[in-house]
Amino acid sequence: MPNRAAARLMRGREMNKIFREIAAIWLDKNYRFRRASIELVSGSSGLSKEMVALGIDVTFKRIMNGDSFLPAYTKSLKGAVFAIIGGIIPAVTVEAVLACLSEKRPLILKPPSIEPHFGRIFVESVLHEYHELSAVLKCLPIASNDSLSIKNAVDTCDTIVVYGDDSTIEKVRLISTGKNFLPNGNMASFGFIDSEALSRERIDETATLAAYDVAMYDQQGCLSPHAYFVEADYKTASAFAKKLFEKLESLENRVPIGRIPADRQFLLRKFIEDWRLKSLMDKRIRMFQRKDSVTNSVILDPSPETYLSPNFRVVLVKPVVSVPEMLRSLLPFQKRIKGLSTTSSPARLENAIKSCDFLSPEIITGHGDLQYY
Amino acid sequence: MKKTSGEKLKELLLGYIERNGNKMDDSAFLEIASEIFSFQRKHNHVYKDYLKETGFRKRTIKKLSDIPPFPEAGFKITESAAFNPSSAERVFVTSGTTTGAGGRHFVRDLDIYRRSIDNSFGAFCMNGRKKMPMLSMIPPGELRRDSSLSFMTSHVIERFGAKGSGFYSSGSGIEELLDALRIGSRSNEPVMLLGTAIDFHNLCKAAEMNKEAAVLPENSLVFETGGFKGRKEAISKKALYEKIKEVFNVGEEQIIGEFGMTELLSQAYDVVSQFKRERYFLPASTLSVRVVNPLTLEDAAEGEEGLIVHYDICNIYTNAAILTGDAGVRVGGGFIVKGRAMYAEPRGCSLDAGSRDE
Repeated sequence: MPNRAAARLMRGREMNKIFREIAAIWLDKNYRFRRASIELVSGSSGLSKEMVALGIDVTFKRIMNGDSFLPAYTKSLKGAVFAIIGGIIPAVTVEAVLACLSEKRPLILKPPSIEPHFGRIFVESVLHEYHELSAVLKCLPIASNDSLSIKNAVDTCDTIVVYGDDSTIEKVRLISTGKNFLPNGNMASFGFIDSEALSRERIDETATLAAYDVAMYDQQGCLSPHAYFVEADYKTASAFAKKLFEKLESLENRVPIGRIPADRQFLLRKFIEDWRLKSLMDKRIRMFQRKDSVTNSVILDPSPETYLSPNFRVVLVKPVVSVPEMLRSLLPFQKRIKGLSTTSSPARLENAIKSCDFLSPEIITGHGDLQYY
Repeated sequence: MKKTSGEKLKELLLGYIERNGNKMDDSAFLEIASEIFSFQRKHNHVYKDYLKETGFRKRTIKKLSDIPPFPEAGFKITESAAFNPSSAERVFVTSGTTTGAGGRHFVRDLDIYRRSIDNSFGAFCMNGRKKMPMLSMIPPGELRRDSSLSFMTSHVIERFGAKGSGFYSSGSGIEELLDALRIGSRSNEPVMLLGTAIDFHNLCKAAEMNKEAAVLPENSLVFETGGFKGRKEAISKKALYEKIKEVFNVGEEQIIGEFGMTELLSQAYDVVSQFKRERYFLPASTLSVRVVNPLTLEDAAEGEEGLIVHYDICNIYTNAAILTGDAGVRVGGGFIVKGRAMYAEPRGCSLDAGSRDE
């Protein structure tokens, strides 16, 4: 049972200071909780240790820097919160914990069954450093199919935050009647690269940052772009696609790709072969990839349709003449867009989005900055 | 008249069959596969472009895995053939039950298909018999000219069927078929009952309603040709075989499973006498099967699930090497088909807490 009275005691505490202290210790490479989580999270999530470490660094650096990091639902939290975390991205857990603390809401956190370690370790570390928070912060490491325990936790809370696919969200919604229900479903992000960012002087850096956003968490997070819309002619877009492929390859040397689940392996192969066959019919389609694998693939596709990537560092590059052309391509995903990154000023994208009236991305940010959200 | 390169390859193939029958000769197989690859690389323009796209540059083929397989899906959206497809003797069409779109296999020379069937069916299914009465629920080739299975069935009956053989619709002709079985059971002459999984499913249902009719003469055989996927009513192979055994009072060894694809001219068979534990398919001597890692296309370890790749040296005029969308495992000298590869559809981020949890 979350202790609402204890939550009130948090009032007046300098939460931002606490967050920065937590971030500082997690950025210490020798911090035992960090070391343990890299080991265990890599094992359960399949992400490489280097990727887990990078994810931890990115997450806590942005907190240290005082950047905005709280999820969009933060201000909607009411009373005691039960957060059901999904997926394998550590940042999601951190966000949920800090959102509740910042709003002085007691929290029961259920880590994902697929990757149960980070949630448990992170909560343990926060409580280890701040014992007084033990009355308001609990980790409930139960299995996702333990319906009874989940229902019991839902019943004791006022707000239910759930991350998951549509069926998971629906299941939780059914047992959350009358609660403040805050679902976070599968989302996708995209990037826009303006013509100036493709100049001879800047294309290298543009591709480096794009590769970084694509590769983060092996593209399994909501914030990794599935496609880059490039404000350029076919030839320049092709040069960018090639450069992006090279950057993905070089990034892999430092941050290796992790384990790929069997269903995703099949999907990746199908996705690549389908595109290869398409390229036989449409010579404008070009594929940049290694001979011996299908990950780290960049597909140059000038068609107006946009496709979701199968993840694991596979991305489309699409030449467009304008921002509105990109937005039209994104229409099929209008309810699923988490973030848009841009090399131009975010205002340019924001204005175009306002006038198109059918997209409402949660985040619009600078190029290469998606992962800082 | 001077022989074309395709005809020379056919000669090579028939010589191989003549010499080896249904016994696989790995080095001779590789030699022919390599020759066919060179032919297809030169004359099949779709495959040639595909190889270019994959960055393939090898000059010599040292092992089968050196030959890049063409995706099964390519038969749906391209006209993959090493000859002018308009001069095909027959075009076999896939049902497209899984994806909704059918693929086309342009067959330049049906005689190759007949020779392939003669070679493997006799060895795997006839068990020393020359002929036996065959009752088929699969429509004859004359009625389904675009069906590779119907062509095969008609040819099998023409070549191996004894007096009393015939075709029965698994829908309207079921009562007639049950009558024929009843008559056959009185004469006690073994028969072979041929049908797809769904045919047998329907027949079992009908036969269960009339126990008397559901008797097969002793030593009869059940020849099941697959088709478990893409149906409204899911049927597992194991459950169907149990049902067939129960309804027709036949032993496991009397059921023969056949694996074929519209895109292939060679087949594989599972015949129970050849297994110790689980049933699995053994390919004909003209077919070599690999199970590969989907990411790298390198051989998966025995027992490890991967994608099935077929090398069919009877496919001289289209694609001998085919990367299927079937998941399978390699076992013994054969393979088990686990069904269509289960793809997790792209859905943005992988926050699929439910679907990927235990």
